[in-house]
Amino acid sequence: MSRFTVEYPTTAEETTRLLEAETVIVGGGTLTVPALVRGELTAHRVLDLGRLGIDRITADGTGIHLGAMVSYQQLITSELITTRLPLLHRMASGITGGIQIRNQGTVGGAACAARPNSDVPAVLTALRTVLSLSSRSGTRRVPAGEFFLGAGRGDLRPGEFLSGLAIDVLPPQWTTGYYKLKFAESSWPVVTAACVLGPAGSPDPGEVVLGAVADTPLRIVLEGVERAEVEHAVADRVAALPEHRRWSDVRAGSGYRTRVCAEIACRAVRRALAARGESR
Amino acid sequence: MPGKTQRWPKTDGFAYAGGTVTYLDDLRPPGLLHMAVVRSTRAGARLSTVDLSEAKRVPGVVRTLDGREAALHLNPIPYAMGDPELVGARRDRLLALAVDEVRYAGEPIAVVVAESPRAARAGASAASAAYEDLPDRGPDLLAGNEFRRGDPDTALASAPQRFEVTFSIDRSTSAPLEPRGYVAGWDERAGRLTVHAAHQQPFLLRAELAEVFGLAETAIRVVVPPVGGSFGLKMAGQPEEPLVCLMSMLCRRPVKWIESRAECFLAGAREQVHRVQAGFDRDGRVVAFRDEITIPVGAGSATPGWRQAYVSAATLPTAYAVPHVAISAKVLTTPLPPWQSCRGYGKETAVLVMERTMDLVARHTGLDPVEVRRRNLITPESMPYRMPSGYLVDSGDFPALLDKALRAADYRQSGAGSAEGLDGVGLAFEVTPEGGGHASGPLDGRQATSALPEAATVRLEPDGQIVVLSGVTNPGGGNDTSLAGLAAAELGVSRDRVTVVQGDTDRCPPGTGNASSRGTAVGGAAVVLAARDLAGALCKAAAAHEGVPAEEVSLRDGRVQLPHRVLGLDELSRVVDRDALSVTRTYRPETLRGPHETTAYRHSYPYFSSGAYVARVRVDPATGVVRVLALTAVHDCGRVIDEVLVEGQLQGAIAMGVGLALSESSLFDDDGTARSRSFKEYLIPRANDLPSFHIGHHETPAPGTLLGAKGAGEAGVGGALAAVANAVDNALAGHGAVVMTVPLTPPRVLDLLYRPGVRR
Repeated sequence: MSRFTVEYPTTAEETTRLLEAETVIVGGGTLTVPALVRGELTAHRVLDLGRLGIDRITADGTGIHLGAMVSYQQLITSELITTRLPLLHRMASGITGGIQIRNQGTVGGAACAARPNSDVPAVLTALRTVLSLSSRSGTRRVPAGEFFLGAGRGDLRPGEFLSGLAIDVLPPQWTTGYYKLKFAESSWPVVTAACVLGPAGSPDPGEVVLGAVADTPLRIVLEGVERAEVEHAVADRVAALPEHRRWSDVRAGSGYRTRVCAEIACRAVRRALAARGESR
Repeated sequence: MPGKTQRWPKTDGFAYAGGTVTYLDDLRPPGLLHMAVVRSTRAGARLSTVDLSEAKRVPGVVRTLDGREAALHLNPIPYAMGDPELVGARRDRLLALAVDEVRYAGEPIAVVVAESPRAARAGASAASAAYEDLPDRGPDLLAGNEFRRGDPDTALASAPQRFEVTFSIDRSTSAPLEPRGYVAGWDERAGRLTVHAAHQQPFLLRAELAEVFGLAETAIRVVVPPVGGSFGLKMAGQPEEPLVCLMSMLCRRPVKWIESRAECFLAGAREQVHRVQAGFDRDGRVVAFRDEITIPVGAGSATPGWRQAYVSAATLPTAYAVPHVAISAKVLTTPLPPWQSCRGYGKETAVLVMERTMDLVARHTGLDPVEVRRRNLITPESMPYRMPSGYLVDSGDFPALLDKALRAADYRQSGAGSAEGLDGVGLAFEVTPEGGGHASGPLDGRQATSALPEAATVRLEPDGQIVVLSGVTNPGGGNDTSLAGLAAAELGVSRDRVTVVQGDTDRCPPGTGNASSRGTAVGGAAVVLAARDLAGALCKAAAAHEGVPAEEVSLRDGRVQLPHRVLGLDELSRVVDRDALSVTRTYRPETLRGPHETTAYRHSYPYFSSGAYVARVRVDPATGVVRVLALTAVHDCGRVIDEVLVEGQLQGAIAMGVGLALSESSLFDDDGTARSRSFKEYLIPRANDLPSFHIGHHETPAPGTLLGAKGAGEAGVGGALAAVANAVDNALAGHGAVVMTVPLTPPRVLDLLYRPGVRR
C-alpha cells in the first residue's frame, strides 16, 4: 500500500517530461487501479493518460491508426474497425466484462501489460501492428512481433509511453479468424488463436498466432490450411518451445495448453476459411 | 418462469435491482473510523513478534492492536450453534487474534484503525511479523463421526456385485455479492454497544459479544441492514466481530470493518474425500453402503462451518433405503483458513456421493439409472423414515417426484456423440434436511437437543397499517415478502399494508436469524399464529364495541366487516385497548417419531425437502469444456408459500450447484497461501454460462410444521451438482471414464477422456 500523486498530462511533451521520474502509467486502469487499491502495486507517482486525447481511430491510405487509449467499446462500435479490421472487432466483442469494463479497458493498456493470458497481444501480433513508443528523444516504432518480450514485459523503455498503434489493412481477399478458449464467461482466456489467411491458392497460405501457450504470442507460419497441416505446424512449433517459455497459470497448466492449442488453431483457421466462403 | 407474472413479487425488489438498498457499507455515522486486519503470511508457525511501529507512523492511523493486547480485553469466542461435544468434536480455545502461534495464512494477528479505509489498509500493510518454523504436525483429528445400520461387513462380503470407488470434492466457497462487514459504536456513558452487521444471526451475535466482553445482552444492540447475500458466510463466530467492537471501545468512536473480496475468498468448505464401497444385487438393489470419509475443515473456528462435516456424514445414504450402512468420517483440522458455512451445509456433498454411487450401480448392472433409483428410493409408505444417523425423513413422495422430473425433462438415456460434442444426461435425487438440528442420533444418555423456536409480533398501528416484527432475518432472498403475505392473509388486508421489521435485537422478538431454510417454514408459522391471534382479538374487540356477536365479525378487504357496516382498521385501533393491538407468538416445529419407535432420539432437522434433477450437457472432446444445455428440477418444499420466491431460491442454488460441478475451486499454494483472491481465479457461473432452468413443484406437506411448509434455500445445490456430474459421466461413459472428482474443469475432463492406456 502506497501513497501517490496522480498526474493528468494533456500533451505528449508534458507526458514525456513527467516520465523522467519513476512513474506508473495508467491507461484504462482496469488492471492497475485495482492493483493499486489492493496494495499489490506500489507507486509514488501515477500518470493517467486519460486526458491526453489519444483515443481516436483514424484511417489513411494504407491503414488504421489507433490512439493508445482507444477502448474496447470503440473497437466494437467503430464502423472503420468493423469493416476494415474485423479481427480486432471480433476480439473486442469477446472481451470478458460488462459495458463498464469495455468502455474503460484500452487496447494500448492491454498491450503494455503484456499478459500472456489476454486477448490483445496475439491479435496485435497477427495483424502485424506497429506500436509507437514516444519519449523525449522522439518516437520509436516497434512491430508487435518484437514488442512482447515475456510475461508482463513489453519493450517499453524508461521514459517511453505507448502513444498509438498502426495496423495495415489486409489486402483484398485476405481473411481472418479468431477463436478463444476460456472456461467460463468470467474466465481469462486459456488459449487464443488469431488467424490471417491469404487468398485461396496463394503460395503464402497465412499464419496463426497463438496466445497463452507461451509467455509471448507464438507465431506459426502455415504451409497449408488443411487440418493436418495446421496441426502439424502447431505441433512442431510448440514442441520446439523451451520449458521455461511455456505458459501456465491458475486456470490450466502448460500441458493442457499444449494438448489443446492445435485444435484452437484449427478452429481459428476454420473461421478464417469461412470468412472467404469455405468450410472445412 | 413462464406464466407466473406477479405484481410486486418481492417487496424490496426494485431497491435491490436498482442499487438503492442501504447496505452495511453505506452506513457512515459521524466520527467513523475504519479497521483493517493484519493477517498472517505463514501457516503453522510460531508467531515471534508482531511489529506495529511502522503501521502507527502511517498518516491517519489512530490505533493498533495485537493479539496480546486483545487477549487482555476479550474472552475466547464461544462456539456458535451449540457445544462442539454435541457432534463428537474436540473443544478448542478460540481467540480473535493469534497469540504466539499462527495456524493458517490469513489468520488475523493484529488490527489497525484509521481515519479512512485507505489509511487503515496502508497501516495494515506496514505492519510486520516474525515467524519461526514449527515442526509439521500434520492434520489433527477434530471429530470422528460414525453411523451404522445392520451388518454392512457381512452384507458387503455376500453381495452379488460390489465396487469400491473414491470420490473427491474440492474446497469451494459461498461468494456473496456483499462480503461481510460490521459497524460498531460504543456509548461509554450509557455502557451500550450498538453493532450494525451484515449478518444472518443477530441474536446469536449479541449473545457471542456479551460473552466475549462480559456484558449483559441487554447492553448490546445488533441491527442488520439489508443484506446482499449470505449463503452461510455471515453466521456468528467470526474474529472480526468482537475486534471491531473492541476498537470502538478503545477509540471511543464508531468503527467499521468491511471485508475485502480477497479476504472473503479465504472462507471455504465442502472439501471431502469419500472412499465408498457399495454392494448390490443384479436388480440394482443396494444392500450395503460403506463410506470412509476424510474431511479437512481448515483451522478450528467458533463459526458453525466445520459442523458441515458432521451433516455430510449424517445425511448419507440420502434418499435411499439401504439396509446395511457404515459411515465413518474423520474430521481434521488443517493449516488452511477455517471452514465457513456454505449453502447446502454439507448436504450437497452427501447427495453428490450417493448419486454418483447410484449411477455406478446402474453402470455395473446395465440398468437405467432411473430404474436403479426407483428400486432403492425410500417409499412414501415408510415415512417418516429414520436414517442410520438418526435423522428422520419426515415426508415426501420420492417416486412421484422422480417421475414428474423425468416427464418435465423428457428424459432419455443419452451418451451419444453429436457433431458438436459428446452429449450426456444426468439424473440426481436430492434430500435436504432442514429446519435446524444438525446433531442427531439416539439419546442414549447423550446431551439432548430440542427444536429452536421462532417468534413474531404482529401489531396494528393507529393508521391501520400492520407491523410484523420477526426473529428471522432476510439475506436478500425475500422472506420478508412471504412473512408480509402470511400476515396479510390472516388479517384480511393487502400485503402492501404490512411492514416487516427484522434483524434488530432491540425491536424484534428473539430468533435464529436465517439459517437451515427455516425463515418461512418456522418464522412464517410464528407470524401466522400471532396474526391469527391478533385477528381474533380485533374481531372480539370490534364485536364488544359494536354490541354484536363476535362470530358475526370478520376482517376482509382491509376492513372490519360488521353485520350492518364496515369499520376501518384505523378506526378500530382508536377504540380498542392498546394491549389488544399487539400479539407475540412463538412457534417451534414438532419433533416427530418414526412409526413404532421405542428409542428416544435427539431433536434433529424437523423436515426434509426433496428434489429430482435432470441435467443435459455437451462435452467438447477436444478441450474438455462442458456446456450445460438444460437443467430441470422438480422440488418438494411442502406447501409453496410464495412460488416466485421459492423459485428465486432454486435459481440461485442450482446456479451454485452447476458452479461446484464445473468450475468453482478455492486454490491454495503448497505453503497455504490463497491463490483464489478474485472472481478471476474463482469462477462462478454467469448467466451466459447457464441455460434457463425449468423448475416445477410437487407439494407434500410437512407433518411437523404449522403451514406444511419445508425449506427453500439450501436445496438445489446438491441436486444440480450431482445431476451435472452424472451428465458428464454419462457423456464420457463411452470412453470408459468414471467421474470421481469435482469440479470437472476442462483439464480434468481431458484427463478423464484420454487416460494413458485407454483406447480413444
